[in-house]
Amino acid sequence: MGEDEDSGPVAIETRNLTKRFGPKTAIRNLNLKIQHSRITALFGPNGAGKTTLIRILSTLSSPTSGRVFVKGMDISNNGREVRGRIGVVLHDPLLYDDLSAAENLRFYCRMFGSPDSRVDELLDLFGLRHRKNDRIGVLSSGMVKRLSIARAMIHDPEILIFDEPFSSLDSDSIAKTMSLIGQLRDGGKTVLLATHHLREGYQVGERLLVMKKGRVVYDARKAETGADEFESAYDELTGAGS
Amino acid sequence: MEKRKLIDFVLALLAVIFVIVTVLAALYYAPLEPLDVSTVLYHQDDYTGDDIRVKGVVQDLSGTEFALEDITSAVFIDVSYADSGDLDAGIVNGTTVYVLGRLEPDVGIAAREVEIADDPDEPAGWRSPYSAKIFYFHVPAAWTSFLAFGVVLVCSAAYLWKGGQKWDTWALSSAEVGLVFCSVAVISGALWAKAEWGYYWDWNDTKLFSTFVLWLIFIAYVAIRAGAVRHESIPRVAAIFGILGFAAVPISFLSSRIWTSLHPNVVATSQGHLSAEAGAVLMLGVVAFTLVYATLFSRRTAIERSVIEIEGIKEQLEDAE
Amino acid sequence: MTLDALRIAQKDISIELRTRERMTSTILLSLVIILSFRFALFGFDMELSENPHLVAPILWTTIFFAGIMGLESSFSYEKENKYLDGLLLLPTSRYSIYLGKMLANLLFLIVVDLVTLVFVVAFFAYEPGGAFVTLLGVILLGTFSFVAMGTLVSGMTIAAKTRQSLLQIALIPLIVFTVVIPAVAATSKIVSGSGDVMPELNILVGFGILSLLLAYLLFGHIMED
Repeated sequence: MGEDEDSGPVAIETRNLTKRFGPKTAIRNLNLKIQHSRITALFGPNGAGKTTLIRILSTLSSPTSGRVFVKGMDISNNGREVRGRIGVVLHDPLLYDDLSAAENLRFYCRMFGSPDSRVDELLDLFGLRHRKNDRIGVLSSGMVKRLSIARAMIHDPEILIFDEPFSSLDSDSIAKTMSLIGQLRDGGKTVLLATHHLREGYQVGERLLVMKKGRVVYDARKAETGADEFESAYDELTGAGS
Repeated sequence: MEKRKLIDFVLALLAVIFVIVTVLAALYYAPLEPLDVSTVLYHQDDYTGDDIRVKGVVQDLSGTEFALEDITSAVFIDVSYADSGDLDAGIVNGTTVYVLGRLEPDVGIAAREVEIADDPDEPAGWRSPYSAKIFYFHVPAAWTSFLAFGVVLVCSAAYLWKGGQKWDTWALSSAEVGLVFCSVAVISGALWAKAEWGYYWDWNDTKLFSTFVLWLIFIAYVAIRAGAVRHESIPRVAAIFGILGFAAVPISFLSSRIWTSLHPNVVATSQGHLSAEAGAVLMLGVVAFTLVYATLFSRRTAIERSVIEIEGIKEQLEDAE
Repeated sequence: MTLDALRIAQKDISIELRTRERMTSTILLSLVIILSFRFALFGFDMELSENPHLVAPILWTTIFFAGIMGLESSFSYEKENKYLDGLLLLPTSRYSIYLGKMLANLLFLIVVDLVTLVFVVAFFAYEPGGAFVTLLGVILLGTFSFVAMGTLVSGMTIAAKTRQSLLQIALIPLIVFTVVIPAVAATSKIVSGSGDVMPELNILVGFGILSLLLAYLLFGHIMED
């Protein structure tokens, strides 16, 4: 396991977290601390448990055993409060195809108890104001991705969790998403992103984690790890290079 | 492992022995007509003696025929066979004739002076030589299915409360085995009713109806689980459905009682005063069926454990790659 | 909680108003069922005004079957289009999601009820006359009870990730005594103009409230992986 010498306030903590689906163990006895105001990039091959971890952290799934704390709150009995503090961008945009961009954001905005003005604010921020009355179904996938990030930021959460933010995006959109994640961090947000895009994840991340078969098998700070070093370590750990 | 096999073997052996003994006892020992038994009695106030015409012949179980004209009083057990006017079966007990068949205004069965039973608790005998035999299997099957569904309830609650694979395995196994017994109970009950009442099913009978609904609920339970993967949310949803399903039974009973009370011409009771011999055979049957249940349950859980074990091994193999 | 539920219901309604998919298909199904009854009874020359005992079973069979299709799409719309996680990520209780869905379904089915009633009146020459208001009351309460349990079970069949069309198998046995029979019995009494419908209404309301309570206890368990 990695060294936790990165001290500082902890945003997310798991203690002995295990998740089993019947006989399959998705997460094994995971002890992890995610620091505040930092970008933590979580890598790993398919089936490593990244998505399961993210679903547990965002209260979509419940642990088989062990505990999870978000901002010091145990998620098992503070689900509502935790959901109010985190913004989650999943692979699916979670936007209704039949509603317009503005209508979607307005629905989420009200549900999160934010003022309606937040909708226009975010549409401006993401450069989508001119498409606000278009149905989600007719927008490009890059635009939908940006909107789904806007949706997650509707309540200005302290913690943002991304699952595969770079998949199914063209290189231009990837660059935009990366710079956005950087901005979030500069704004003092805690970011956790799970991805199998090694290069982009490395570029944007500050702490690098690799999961394999439900365990964290690699934990390093980017400042101390070169890109090539990281990539070869990843290949070696996951067997992708052989 | 060996101990488990031994227990399975002993259970299976005992189950076979008890079933054989029950069959023999039901065939040769149990009285053909446990006259103490009072079964479902219907009485219809709508009909008086004057409206009813005499038709057909009543036969008792020994084959002796009685001309209906000679009978001074009759108890109408149930009413059917409006068209033929023939009696399916009936026995004469003193001056009381027990008749099977559905009474319709025009065609029917009657005696010179027909007395319609007001007291549904009045003891009656078996009206068919087959029904008693069926009875010794029907009651144990029904009892075992209730036991099995009770186990589903308990295990489902335990699964939701504490989690743990074994509770889910037990609930699933018990539901499947229970469904088999419930099917036996429903089918044998229908056969019994055919022999006894002259038709297969009476939707006005709360007990029949609610057992049938229970049967449907657990068919749905098994359908929810059938073909589904053994992880993710299935066990939890199934556990909730198991609890809802079992809860539906008392609710059904309660509400249908209110409902039945609105239809006062339908009265159903089924309390029994069994003779000692019949009671003994019935107990034997209950023990035998419970043992069969235990055996099947044990085997079914073993299968489920193997499936889980295999899936675990598969996962290990994948891990090792 | 209530406000959140209302907002979720509002969202469902505005989507429905835009697409009209559910409403169209459910009302079409209702029409097809009513017409099937009409054609099946054709040879018997059955006008319901002369055979009023047929009104209740025909009306409710149609409502239940069309309604089940409507209920099924309530959660499967979210699930199949992968919107469900969005609802689950909202900072509200799981019960609010249930309540919101329940309210939207209730409103939706009331419309279906009314249309079905119009079909019955039109195709069977049935005239409710003075019993119209009581009849509406029974239909509303029966629908409430049906939707309260139906939304819960429809959430379960979605969470179980089973194939479709399991809702009928799972739902109907649970509501036979508590919704189906009382609703039909009460309607029969109203149509035939005899008898007190209070006992049935008590069962319908009681079971509806019990379903809300069960949903409160269980819906959170259903909606998590």
